[in-house]
Amino acid sequence: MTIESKLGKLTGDLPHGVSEGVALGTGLADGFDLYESALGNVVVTFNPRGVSSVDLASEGFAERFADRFERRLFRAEAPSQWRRFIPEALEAGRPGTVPVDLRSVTAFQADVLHETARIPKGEVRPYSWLARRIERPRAVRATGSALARNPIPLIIPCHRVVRSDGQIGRYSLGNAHNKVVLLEREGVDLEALKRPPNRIP
Amino acid sequence: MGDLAMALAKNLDRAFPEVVEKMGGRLYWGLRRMSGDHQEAEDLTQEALIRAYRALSSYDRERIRALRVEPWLWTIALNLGRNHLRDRSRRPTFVTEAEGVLDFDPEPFDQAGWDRRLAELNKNQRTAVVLRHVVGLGVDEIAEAVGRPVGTVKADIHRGLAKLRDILEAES
Repeated sequence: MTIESKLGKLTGDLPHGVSEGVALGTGLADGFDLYESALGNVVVTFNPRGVSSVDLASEGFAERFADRFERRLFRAEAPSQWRRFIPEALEAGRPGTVPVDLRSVTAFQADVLHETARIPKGEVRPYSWLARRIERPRAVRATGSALARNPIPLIIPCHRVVRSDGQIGRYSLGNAHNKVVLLEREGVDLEALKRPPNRIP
Repeated sequence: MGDLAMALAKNLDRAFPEVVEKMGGRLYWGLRRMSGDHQEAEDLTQEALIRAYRALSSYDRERIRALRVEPWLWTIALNLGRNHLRDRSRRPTFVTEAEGVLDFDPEPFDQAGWDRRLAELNKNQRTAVVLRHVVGLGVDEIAEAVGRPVGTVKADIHRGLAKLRDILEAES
C-alpha cells in the first residue's frame, strides 16, 4: 500500500452535530428551548438575529413552527450574549435587551408589533390607539390582524391591546382566556375597562 | 463543482446544506489531520462553514457563479486556522487516540501515528499533502486555496511525501 493511498484512508464522515451547528449558526435552522411563563411552559425559538417565536409547549409545536417559518428546528441553547435575559423578557412582557426576529411578518405588521412592545406592563391600549400611533388611523382591523399574527407573544405583549368597548378581544396564544389570565396577573381591572369613560370615577 | 456554484447563485438557502453535506466531512478530516485535534477541527469546520454562508449572502450572483466552491472554502478555513495553528505549533500537542471510524480497515490503521508523522512536516508541506491526498483536491485547487503558485504546491507535496517516506523507513 502506497503512502498516498494510506493518507487517503485518513478521512471519514462529518462528526455528528457539526451540520446542525452550522445550520443554527447560519440561521438556516432555529434552535428551541423551554421556558416557564405565566401560561405554563413555553417553547422559545431563536436564531442569530434574535427570538423568532414563542408558542405554548404543547404537542405539535414543531409542526406549527415548520408550517409557519419553513425552517428546521433543533433543540439548542440561545446565544449566550442574551440567553439569560429571556426569562426576564417573558416575565416583564417586553423584549428589553433580547433581540427579536420579525422577518416572518410584513413591514406594517412589524410596525404594529414594535409599537405594541412599548406598552407598559399593567396597562392596556385599544386597537385604534395603536393604529394612530403608527400613523395608519384607518387601519384598525389590519392592526388587529397584525397582533393575531404576532410570532412572539408574551415578549411582545399583544395581550395589552384590547377593544375600544372594553371587550378583551382575541388572543394569539391559545385562547382569549389566556389573555384574561395575563392581564389579571398584571393587575389590570378588566371590569373597569368595560365601563364607558365618563362613568369611570 | 460548477453545478453547486450555480445552485448557490440561484438559491443560497436551499443549496447551502449541500455544501455542508458534500464538503463538510472533507473539511473536518483535512483540518483534523492538520491539527491532530478533534475539537479544534470541529470548531474550525463549523466556523468556516458559517463564515462561508455569510460571505455568500453578501456576494452577487455573478460572483457566486464564478466560484470554485471547495478551494474557496479552504481559503476561509485556512485563514481562520492560521493564527490558531501557529500558536499550537509552538507547544507540545497531545495526540488524540484513534477513533472508531477506521475500525473496519483490514490493516489496523493508526491514525494517531499518522497525526504524529504529519506533525513532523513543516506547515506548508503538511497543508499541501493533506489537501492533496487526504482531502483529494487537485494541485490547481490547492494553489488557489492556499494562494501559492502551482509549482510551489507541487514541490511542497513532493517534499512532504518524501519526508513521510523517510519517517516510515526510520520507524521500520
